[in-house]
Amino acid sequence: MFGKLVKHEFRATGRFALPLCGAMLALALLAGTVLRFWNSLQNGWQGMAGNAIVILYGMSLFAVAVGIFVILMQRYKQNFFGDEGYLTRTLPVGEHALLLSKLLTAVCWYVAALALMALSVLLAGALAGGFTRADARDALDALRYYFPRIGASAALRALLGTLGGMSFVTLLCYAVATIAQNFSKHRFWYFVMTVVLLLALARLLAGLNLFLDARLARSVGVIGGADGPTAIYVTGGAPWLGLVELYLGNALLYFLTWAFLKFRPNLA
Amino acid sequence: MSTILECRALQKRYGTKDALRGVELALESGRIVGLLGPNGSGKTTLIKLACGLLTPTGGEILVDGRQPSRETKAVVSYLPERIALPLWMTAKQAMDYYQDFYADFRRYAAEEMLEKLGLDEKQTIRAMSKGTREKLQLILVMSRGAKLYLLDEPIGGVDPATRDYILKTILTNYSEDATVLISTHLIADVEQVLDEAVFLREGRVVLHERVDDVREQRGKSVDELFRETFAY
Repeated sequence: MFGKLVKHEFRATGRFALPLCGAMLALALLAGTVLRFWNSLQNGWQGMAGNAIVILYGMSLFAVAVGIFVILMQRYKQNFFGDEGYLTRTLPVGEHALLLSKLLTAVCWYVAALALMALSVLLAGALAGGFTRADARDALDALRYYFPRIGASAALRALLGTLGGMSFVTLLCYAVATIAQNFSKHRFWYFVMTVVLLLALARLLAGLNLFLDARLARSVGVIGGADGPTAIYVTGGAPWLGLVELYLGNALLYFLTWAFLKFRPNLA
Repeated sequence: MSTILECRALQKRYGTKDALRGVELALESGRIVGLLGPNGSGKTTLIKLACGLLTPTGGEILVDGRQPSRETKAVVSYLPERIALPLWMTAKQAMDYYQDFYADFRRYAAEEMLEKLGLDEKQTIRAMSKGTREKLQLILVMSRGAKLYLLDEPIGGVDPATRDYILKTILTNYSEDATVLISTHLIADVEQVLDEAVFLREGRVVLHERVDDVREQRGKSVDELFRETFAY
């Protein structure tokens, strides 16, 4: 059943996410081509069209980053609390399966979006002539140089930290949306208020270093806009304890969402 | 005959408003039951509680002897009063969805009914008329071999021809061992198919009788009794 839920999640979200990513890649190809011939395009409408394509490509990167998040949140809300909820919530599957299928799909889309955004930049760069084979060789050499110094353990921590950060943000929104659903009136404002409260709490924790590990506190503070996101794991290589705390945060938010879904279904 | 749906002192409160006030009800298998009452009497709330879409404030509700859960959802086929199918799906995708999740889904029956209706399987639900959407949803619900069918206002807001189609679809597709609970306030239209009638008023069961008994012992139709019971 879980596999089928995941399949239907991808089918539902892919309708919007795939064209969005496809458009970004197409614009990357166009932008790269435009940049290659930039000097000969500087006059008249050709120059304007070239500028527009490059700007559009930049905007498409932003659209993919924000759009995928919006698509996933919209899907969660509609599928659980909209009219579709009458179908979803009467399926003979448990709340864990329903919630996990959405979380897994969300994290997969974030990873795919990140990978495709990086690919599009490389494509545009390669087409524009700004990223050559020599550059690729240099990048690989740099990786070979730094990787043994960072170590496999740090790389694994970076990966786990990034995935944990993605699921943390997703679960935070799921939890807030699910709790807000229990208010029959002014749901939107309860949603906003709960987000603000949680973010304020995160910033407070970050500021006071109340967590066992200051670096984790900072990574939580990110959600409140304090400093760089899970990049802290990439650059700093957070200790395992920090990761444990991050995943504990994930578990708490997951439990909160699951408990409200199971015991307070509220499709009134 | 076993009890398929049982309510014991069932209560549901929304804020300060009581939707159900101590409902006592037991429905046996193999019956078509009308859940009848005016708007706001608690019909939809009772059905949602049986589906596990709401949790009771007090008392309990049992489906096939168990509280609403994953197991009871596998034996309950629910038709909500609104279109719950994702509008972007085609009729074929909707059938795939039901087939994926319900072991008792009879795809051949659904395809046969869709063909009779002249519905293109590749058409999206969004492109269908309101009546066609309702028919499709009913076809999917009635194509399951469930133990309990919970139909919330299946004939509300549709034309008389569609009403006939819906009632015919219900009658020709449910298994004789199954119970069908039809919630409606359009008594005259469903009366001829009912075995039992349950009257709900302000969250309480005020009558639960066999339709034949209503006719023979009271000398009235269910529609007449309803009008009498709920007269202002």
